[in-house]
Amino acid sequence: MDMAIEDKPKSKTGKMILALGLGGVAGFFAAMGFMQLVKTGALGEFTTSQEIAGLVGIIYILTALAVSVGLVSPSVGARFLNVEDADELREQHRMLTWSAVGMIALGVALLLAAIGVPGGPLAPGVVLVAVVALVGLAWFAGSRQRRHVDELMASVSTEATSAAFYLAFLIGGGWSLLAHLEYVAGPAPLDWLTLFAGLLMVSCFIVAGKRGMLVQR
Amino acid sequence: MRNRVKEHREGQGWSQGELARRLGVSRQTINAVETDKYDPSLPLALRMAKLFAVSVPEIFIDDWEPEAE
Repeated sequence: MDMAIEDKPKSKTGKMILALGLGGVAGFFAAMGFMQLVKTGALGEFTTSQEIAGLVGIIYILTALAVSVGLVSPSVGARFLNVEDADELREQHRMLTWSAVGMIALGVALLLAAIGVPGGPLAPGVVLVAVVALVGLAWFAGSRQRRHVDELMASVSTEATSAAFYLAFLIGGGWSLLAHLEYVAGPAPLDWLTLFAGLLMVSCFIVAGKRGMLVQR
Repeated sequence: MRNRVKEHREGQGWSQGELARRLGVSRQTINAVETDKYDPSLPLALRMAKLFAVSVPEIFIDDWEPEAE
């Protein structure tokens, strides 16, 4: 069935529109669903910090799911993922599999951390164990992924991690400084987790863009 | 750093995917090198030179010149 679909997309513009459209629609509905769930009160009383942490977690999960579609069906994935053709997804199957596992683990960890407050649906102890296990899984997936990356990917990973640190230092540090000087309210503990996870993803896009990897192919 | 990877690759009649396969790297790496977005490591540059049967300076162009003493 997979073979019946043309391997190479017809045009770069069409592919970009499809990718943006799918991403926008999926992101919109996932975010709306999450916010509706928060409004029902089923997850307890939510603060802005918890909402943002949950939304960042959802972005990680959605990104991983998009990659997973490409892993299950490279022909379909090649229609909206930024690859030259379906074979490129097949060539990078193992690397992308571990990448998807790591992103899902981090996304779910952030979601669980967001709902893990006293009085929430999950006991803090349960959340702590689950988040530690998921971060361990993400670390394991990352170490497995590194076995299948080439030098460009390794370079992008190193640069992105470094950029994420400096951005976290700049944004989190600047925010903390302003809070210390009593200009604004300080970041909540959960905000730091969100900052690290969110800025890691932002840094990956910045570095990938710098290396020309976001140019539509 | 400017380079002539694309010229050499096309001279051999290879696609980016074919060159990537022969060098054991991803197509994205070849694409990033050809578009001057990434300078390859020395081992990869040496492998390219060996594959194209030319010297490294024939592929990668560095305009730097030593100062006259």
